[in-house]
Amino acid sequence: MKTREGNEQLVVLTDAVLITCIVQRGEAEEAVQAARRAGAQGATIFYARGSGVRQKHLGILGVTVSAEKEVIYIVAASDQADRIFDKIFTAAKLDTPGMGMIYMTPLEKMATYVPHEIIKRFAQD
Amino acid sequence: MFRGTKKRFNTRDMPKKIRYGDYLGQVRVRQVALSYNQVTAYDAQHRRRPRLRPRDFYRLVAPYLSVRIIEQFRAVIPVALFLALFQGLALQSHVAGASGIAVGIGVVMLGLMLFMEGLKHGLMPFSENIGHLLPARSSLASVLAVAFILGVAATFAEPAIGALRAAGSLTDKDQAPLLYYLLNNNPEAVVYAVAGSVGLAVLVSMLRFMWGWNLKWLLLAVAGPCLALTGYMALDPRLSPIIGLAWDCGAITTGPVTVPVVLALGIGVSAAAGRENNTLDGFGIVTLASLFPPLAVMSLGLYLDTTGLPADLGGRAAVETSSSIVLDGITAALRAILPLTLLLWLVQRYSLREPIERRNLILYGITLCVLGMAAFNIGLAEGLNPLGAQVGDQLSSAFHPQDEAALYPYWLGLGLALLFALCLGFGATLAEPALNALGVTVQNLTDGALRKDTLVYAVAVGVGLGTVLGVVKIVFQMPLAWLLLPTYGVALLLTLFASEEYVNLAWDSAGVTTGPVTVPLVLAMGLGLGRAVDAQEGFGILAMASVGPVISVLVVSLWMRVREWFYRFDFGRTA
Amino acid sequence: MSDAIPRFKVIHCLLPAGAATGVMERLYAEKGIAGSFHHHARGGGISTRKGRESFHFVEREIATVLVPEERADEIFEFLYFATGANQPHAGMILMEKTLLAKSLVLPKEAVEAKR
Repeated sequence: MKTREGNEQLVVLTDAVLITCIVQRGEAEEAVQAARRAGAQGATIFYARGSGVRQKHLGILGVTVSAEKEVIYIVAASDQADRIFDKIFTAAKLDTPGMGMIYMTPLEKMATYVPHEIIKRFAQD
Repeated sequence: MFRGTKKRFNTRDMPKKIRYGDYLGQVRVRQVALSYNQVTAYDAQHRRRPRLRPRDFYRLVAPYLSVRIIEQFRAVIPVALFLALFQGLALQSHVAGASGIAVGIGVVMLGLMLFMEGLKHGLMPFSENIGHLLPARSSLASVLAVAFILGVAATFAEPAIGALRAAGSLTDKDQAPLLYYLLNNNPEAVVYAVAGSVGLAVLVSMLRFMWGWNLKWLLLAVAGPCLALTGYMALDPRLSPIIGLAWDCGAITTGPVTVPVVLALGIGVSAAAGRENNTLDGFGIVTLASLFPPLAVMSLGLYLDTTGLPADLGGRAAVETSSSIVLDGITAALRAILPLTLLLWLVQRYSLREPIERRNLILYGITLCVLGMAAFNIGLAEGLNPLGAQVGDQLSSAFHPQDEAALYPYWLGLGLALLFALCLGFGATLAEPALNALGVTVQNLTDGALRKDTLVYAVAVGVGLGTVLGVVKIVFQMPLAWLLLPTYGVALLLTLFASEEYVNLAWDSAGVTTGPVTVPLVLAMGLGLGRAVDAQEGFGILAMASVGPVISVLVVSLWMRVREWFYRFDFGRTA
Repeated sequence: MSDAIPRFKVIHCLLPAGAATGVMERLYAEKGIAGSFHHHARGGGISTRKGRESFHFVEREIATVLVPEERADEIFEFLYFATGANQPHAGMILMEKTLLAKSLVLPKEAVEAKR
């Protein structure tokens, strides 16, 4: 998909998903390593705070779940997304209550720097 | 042997084209799809706790405990082991009272654990709250007043100032009359001068946040006169002994209780002033709180010199020690934490008129802080300090003949002693609670881009190198100004080239080091060495150990900038 | 359906540190979109050097904008050029659908005063 604005071209990438993973603070590195091995191109991380599971499910063990969280955004191609999702789930041990959660949302479109040569290759199709 | 029915596949129904991405999804990924609606409905009906597998239990509990225990272990054990091994192997003598010392070290670790936990839950949220609310709800005058009182109160609570008197026990009445007078006859003057200057420093920092002054230029404006005064006093043999005391006073202010409180206030005020998006803007207070005291003490020395001293300076004042170390530790902890907490509470209650949220949690945190600091002091007095004193006393035997011949040839022994100083400075810094607190704050503010470990290791290297220089000063009996002026010159030069946020950080982390772990150990070493080489005074190591981290952190920041610039040439789509 | 619920789209911009405020202000000044917020983050991309296991992290900001559906493409283009996303290392723009959303509505007095 291309639209023109003046002399510049807007190249938009489709079929992308945003994987959001919430883990306890300090655990993001592991999850990001696993994502990278599964093929992710990059990650954006920030800190947040959230305390749901503590009160609800774990009882006294809730103390061990830190309310300080890290949120990881990974933009992935839809072909790779399932695999990255799976790998992060395993590496961050998200099947244990309190470790965090991960979700995937479809992106309508995405735009970033695409080198000129690659645009030209697609233009030929 | 087939059992059961064979399924028959109708070949006409099978798909002929499968999207490759879908195929890979089926092959590699095993997912069971469940509707979240069903999960939520189930949750609403059943209130039972889920059964945890053993591995779940381990995954939850192990990081929680290990972080707290293993972190302290890693911080404290290396220093203790190092001291013991050095004494055993290099100095070829055994450690006296080893079991008592080992217990003491265990208590230090427990104390650190409790203190950090208490800090996280109690003191920091409290002070962050005040930091956010105070600038919003009070006038400029009251913010400045609170800042000044906070600085003064925090300094009075610092236990380390008393430690300087021990260092002064070397001073000779005739060689350095002014220094002797200050330490023995009128120690309160020094304490007041230091406290007042720290209060002033905090006040000036608030003004800096409000009016957006650049830290670099403020640094030059303060450090310049400081160094100039140092140079002037170095030329006068009556005044030059004061230099060591003055700079050491600057190094030991801002300890593990002051730092989080003052940091939080600074972060709050600078966020309220809302100038830039710079995340590390709230720093810089500790910097000034380390540069104002030398100025104050040197001015005090100048003033006393011009007004003249009493003719007879009298005998050496006795240092009082109470009989119980446990009591000492507890009172020191209470003295350090309670006044500040009281002040914060008063400010919150009357200035801000705001009820304290989650009061129980904050009370719990402060109790932990007091218990932790008490245990820390007790453990220090029972464990690390005796060990440090033993090593310090015998350190000079490595290279300097006392009663018997030196253990090693002169240069080898000296090299060994310097290596010891390096490792001691490095290891003691790793165990500093205030530096850890600063590192955690920095990591939080930059969302993890600047890790606590990077900062701590950079500072530790700087302190180690600085300690070496300090030992050199004592052993070769150089005037402190010879070492101080060049190193500060280098630090200021690097400051000019570095980015503003790292300048803030570097000078602050340098001010934060030399805390309750480093000061006694380093002072013990300095005393021992000084006695052996008949030095005039044992000051100066702390001052040097305080300027080392400035240089090391600035170098690290410059390297990171170079590395980032280098990465621009790496092509990769960044997310 | 003239009184259908207005539909919104969400645009995330991943920007280098310090850029968000300027972009958001331009967005409001030139396009009149006020429903936006931003926060700080750290981000990394892979390096093509061999043997690098982890990302190299730089400081970032994430700006999130809620735009009405009709203007979504126009704002997307505007942000693409305003943030310079067509240059390397400048970040990413993402657009998502929402099921339901309510955006920020400025009080009339403030809007009048600004005019």
